[in-house]
Amino acid sequence: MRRLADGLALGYVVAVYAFIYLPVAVLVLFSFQESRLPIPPFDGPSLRWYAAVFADRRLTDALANSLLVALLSSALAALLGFLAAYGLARYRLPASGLQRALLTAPLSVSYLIIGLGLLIMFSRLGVPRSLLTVGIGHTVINLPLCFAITYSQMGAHQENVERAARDLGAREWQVMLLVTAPMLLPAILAGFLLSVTFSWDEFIIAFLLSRFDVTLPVEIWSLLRSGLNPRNNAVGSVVFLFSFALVLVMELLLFRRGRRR
Amino acid sequence: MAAVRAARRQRLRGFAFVLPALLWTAAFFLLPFAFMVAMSLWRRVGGRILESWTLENYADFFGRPHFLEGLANSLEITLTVTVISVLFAYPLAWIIAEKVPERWQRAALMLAVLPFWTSYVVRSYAWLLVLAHDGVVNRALLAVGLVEAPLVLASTRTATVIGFVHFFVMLLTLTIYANLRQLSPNYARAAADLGAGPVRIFLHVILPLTLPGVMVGAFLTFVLAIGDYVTPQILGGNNELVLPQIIMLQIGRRADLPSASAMAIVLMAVVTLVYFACARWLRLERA
Amino acid sequence: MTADVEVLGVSHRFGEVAALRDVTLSIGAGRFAVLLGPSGCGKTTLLSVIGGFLFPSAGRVRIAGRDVTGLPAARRPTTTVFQDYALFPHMRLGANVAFGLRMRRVPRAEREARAEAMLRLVGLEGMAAKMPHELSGGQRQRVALARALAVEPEVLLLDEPLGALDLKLRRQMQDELKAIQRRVGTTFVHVTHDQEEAMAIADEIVVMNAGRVMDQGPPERVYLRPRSRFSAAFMGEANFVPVRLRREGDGIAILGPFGTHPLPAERLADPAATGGRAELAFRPEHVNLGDAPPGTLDLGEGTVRDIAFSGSHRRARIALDALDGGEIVAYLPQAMEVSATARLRLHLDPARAILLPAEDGESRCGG
Ligand SMILES: Nc1ncnc2c1ncn2[C@@H]1O[C@H](COP(=O)(O)OP(=O)(O)OP(=O)(O)O)[C@@H](O)[C@H]1O
Ligand SMILES: [Mg+2]
Repeated sequence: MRRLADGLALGYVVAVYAFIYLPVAVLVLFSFQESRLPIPPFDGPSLRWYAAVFADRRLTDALANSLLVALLSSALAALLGFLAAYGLARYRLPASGLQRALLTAPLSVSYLIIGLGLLIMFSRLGVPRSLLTVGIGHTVINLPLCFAITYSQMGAHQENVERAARDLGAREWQVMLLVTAPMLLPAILAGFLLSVTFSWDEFIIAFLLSRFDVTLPVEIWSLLRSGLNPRNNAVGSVVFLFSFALVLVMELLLFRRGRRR
Repeated sequence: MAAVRAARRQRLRGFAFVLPALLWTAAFFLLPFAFMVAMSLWRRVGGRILESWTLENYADFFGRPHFLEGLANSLEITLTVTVISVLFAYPLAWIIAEKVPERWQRAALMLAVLPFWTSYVVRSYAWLLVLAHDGVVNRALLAVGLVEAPLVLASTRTATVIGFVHFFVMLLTLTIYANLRQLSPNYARAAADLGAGPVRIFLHVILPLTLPGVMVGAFLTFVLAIGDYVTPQILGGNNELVLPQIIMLQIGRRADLPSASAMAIVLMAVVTLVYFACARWLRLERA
Repeated sequence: MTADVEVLGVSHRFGEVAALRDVTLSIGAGRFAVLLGPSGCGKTTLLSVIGGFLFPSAGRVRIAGRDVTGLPAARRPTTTVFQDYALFPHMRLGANVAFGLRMRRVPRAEREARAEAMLRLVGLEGMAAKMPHELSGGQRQRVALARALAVEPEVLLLDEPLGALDLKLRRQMQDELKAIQRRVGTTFVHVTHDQEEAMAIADEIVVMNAGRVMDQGPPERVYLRPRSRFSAAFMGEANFVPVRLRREGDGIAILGPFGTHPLPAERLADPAATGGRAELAFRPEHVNLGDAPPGTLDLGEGTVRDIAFSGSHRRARIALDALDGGEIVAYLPQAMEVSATARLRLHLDPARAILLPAEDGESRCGG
């Protein structure tokens, strides 16, 4: 009986994992295809499509744009989020519930709607679409995340630690710079890295708010119009590798923190 | 007196920390929303936007079968996806939490959600590869002899659902696993002590206790799926359009921002309605 | 490096909750004072008021004769050892201990030397390069102490510093704390709800309940001559019997279930309350067995209801005939084996008897 149940469980897990990995496996496998169509039979391995990807200026430019937007908008979101979390966790402010609700509200609204709103506003105000407007949009969606993560880490214990610093003669800016920020660094960093992965991957806002310079997902989107193509597989595999590396860094950071507790 | 002044100064200083984030959110979230609401009450006539207040965009939306069908498609697909995803993810999360040895759980979980981090656009494209006319699935089915001619999978509602389920199974596995792990094993032990068998323990103890968490995950699935444009556009093609696709058509091809705004607001209203309908089960606030 | 602390009529409210009500006390320079009381009685609040983390709704705080009521923590000659230690998690022990000196712009070499000396003082020599998360609870406690002492405060405030330690470690740390206090000579104000701990380390105990000071004095006095029913009960087990009082020459006489018995007037904790009702209190270990010799207070006969072995003595609940079967607790000698229904005759040395003013609406701590 038990054996049977365990066997069924194993079978189920294998089936679901297969489902989860099927598209990734197919994507990566056919990125090494020799011929022009990424469909069976596999006739690789060949690196020609990767060569094509890295030779494509538009793609490498888009990659650089994506990195720029992701890093800057995430840094801004992490900074604003940390400051807001500090203010709301450490001071008794009027309507603090309302302030928290406002700061986290963008989490519950579709990216499409956020993007559309910004598109309308910028076009009415005559602000041209550019990487800057994309970065603004990404900061809007990542700020709530950074805020919520740091805010949840500012407990009574952390407050006591700050109090101890003040007790020993630290001024407010010293408390913030020497104690609070370093103490919360894991949370701030987690918010930042999560924001980088989201921004890096974000399509619809970037699509609506960019014009000449575009980010990688938007560039890939326009490539997809060419249909199935091993070059698209190669781009996708590179993107996957990058995201994977980011997640690994994050996991290692969080894991290290987990061990400390 | 001095105490009151000191308290005011403290408040002002605290407010100074929050202010930049508040201003940012007001300027780039609230204000655009206001612009969108205003826009939804204007009209686009002959390539120009007429700034006189009217509800015609909304009347249009509810008056045209084409648009209403989009809304219906959105709801049907999203509900299907939510239900299927929960049904797939719960057993997986449960097996990882209960059957996998403690030290391997984290790895098993990481492995289960790794493709979550592939680019959203790329993931849909990958499914297109898999489901294409000459793709892996059809080749396999033909080779085994299950079908005689290749199935039409790409550019169908089925493809959209598969693409969504793939994404949300991973997301839900994460949230449900976290939920199951939070439960003290003593609940199950106490129930077993009192004579409940494994099935009854699950039905009467584990399931009810994890239901709130599952509901939160399901709601998240609903919100993310109903607002998504990429997956239905790549996998569903131009057959049965969902609301975000129609909105994007208004923006792109027709440059009709007023009617796009009205539809976006209808979409938001639907999500809000669903939120209030399940608010009973949703405790999104910090406990 | 040491100063006296005076708290004058301090009250503090948190919204509806009155955490401190008109608290007045003074602690001499170089003394080891312990604030003792049940959970929620306002100990942490009082400590925060002294330390400058909380500004009281009313009243004043003076340290070394200087009014510090409006000063923030950083500008008071006090430092605090927090209940959860509040070590800086991202700094090595050396940097933790030297933090206060760094804020005072002490040059690096000097503050490192001082930090090392402080770590030696608390028995953590050579561990300056460790991180807080590498330490055990007891070690963290010592670091917190070293950090607070490094800036040579005049008054050190400790909020349940031993609360998170297991019993054995706690008793050991008590002795160390006391030794360190003797060595540095700083005034210590220590919060606890463990009366054994309080008696072991204090020069001076302040018993608190529901935001009020119920008693203050050296441990022996507070234990043997408590000034309120609350402190009598909180400082260990006690029996209470209601009696009436009558003036009789120089002294007083008590009238009650045990007959009439003269006592010297100073027996009464609060002499102003003579006349009318009072309460006779006595500790279980002061109950003696056998016929009452002349001059002792005869408790009459009683039946043992229950008896339990507790190591150094046997704890018995005895129903006294004089109290119509009302029970008292007595500690019987360890060597004496008594059956659960035995009849015993008991008496009390009047020198051990405590007289307390009767309390009507006795207020207890919420929570
Ligand atoms: N920040 C606060 N807001 C509201 N009420 C508070 C606050 N801090 C303390 N109180 C209340 O004031 C009273 C005294 O609290 P305090 O922390 O001083 O007690 P304590 O004697 O230190 O208790 P414990 O031994 O549990 O630490 C309690 O009733 C508590 O609920
Ligand atoms: Mg306390």
